[in-house]
Amino acid sequence: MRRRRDRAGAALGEIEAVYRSRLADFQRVAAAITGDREAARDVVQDAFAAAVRSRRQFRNDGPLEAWLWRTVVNTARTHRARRPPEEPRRDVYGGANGTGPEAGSAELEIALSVLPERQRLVVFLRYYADLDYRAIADVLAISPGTVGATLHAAHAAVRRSCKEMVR
Amino acid sequence: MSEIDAPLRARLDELVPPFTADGDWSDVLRRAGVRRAGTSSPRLAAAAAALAAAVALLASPALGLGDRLRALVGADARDDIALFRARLASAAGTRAGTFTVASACSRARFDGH
Repeated sequence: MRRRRDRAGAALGEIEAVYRSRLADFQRVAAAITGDREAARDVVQDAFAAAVRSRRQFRNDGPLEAWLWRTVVNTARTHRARRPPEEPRRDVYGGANGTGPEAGSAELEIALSVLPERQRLVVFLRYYADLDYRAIADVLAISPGTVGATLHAAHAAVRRSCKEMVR
Repeated sequence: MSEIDAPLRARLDELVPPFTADGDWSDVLRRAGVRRAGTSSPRLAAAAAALAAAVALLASPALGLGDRLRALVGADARDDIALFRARLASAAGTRAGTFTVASACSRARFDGH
């Protein structure tokens, strides 16, 4: 992810390579942000279409993958913001028996929902995309130190809300 | 790694299980309005076919348009000016053909004197 390029703009083939190698992670993070598993697939397709259209605007001041993550995260946030507030979350849970989340997961979902957005995004990028602090910093345009502090604060908040996690 | 890391990861996995990658890159390109190299639009293909048909029609001797088309763009073979013509004969003296040098296009220029 740290590979940098010498020229401005991203080649179509490079974007396609990232899409093919990380698609499942992009979809998972999009699902976590939107709360909608089906919409997440659409969000990722739309985000990459937007990236393809604006690929010449990519400046080589950071990794291409971080730029693509930022596009997906922003598209997912926009999708969630457009959703009517009364609309219930739809099928974000993928439990094999289709019965929905366990009680602990429901508790965690509530805990995540009250986190500040930056903390929530850092948690999603860290655990669903397995990005390291440096990569998360590139995506969210913050410093790696801020990523560490934000994740620490999120852990503390989750620990307070989900007591059974630290037993 | 903090003590909460593993249980948090497990709970998050329950919350949003991993996806199986079922991507469709051609759908991305379609949404972006990008065509792959080597493919052309139906409109462009139709225009090329129409142009080819028009050329074939104009050049067809059966329609008598070929000569008119040639006349439009320049020389007409029937209006060539013979500059030199000679009969060709065999060694026995019988006629074998004709050798002709002709100009398909002549141009005169006056320099004002």
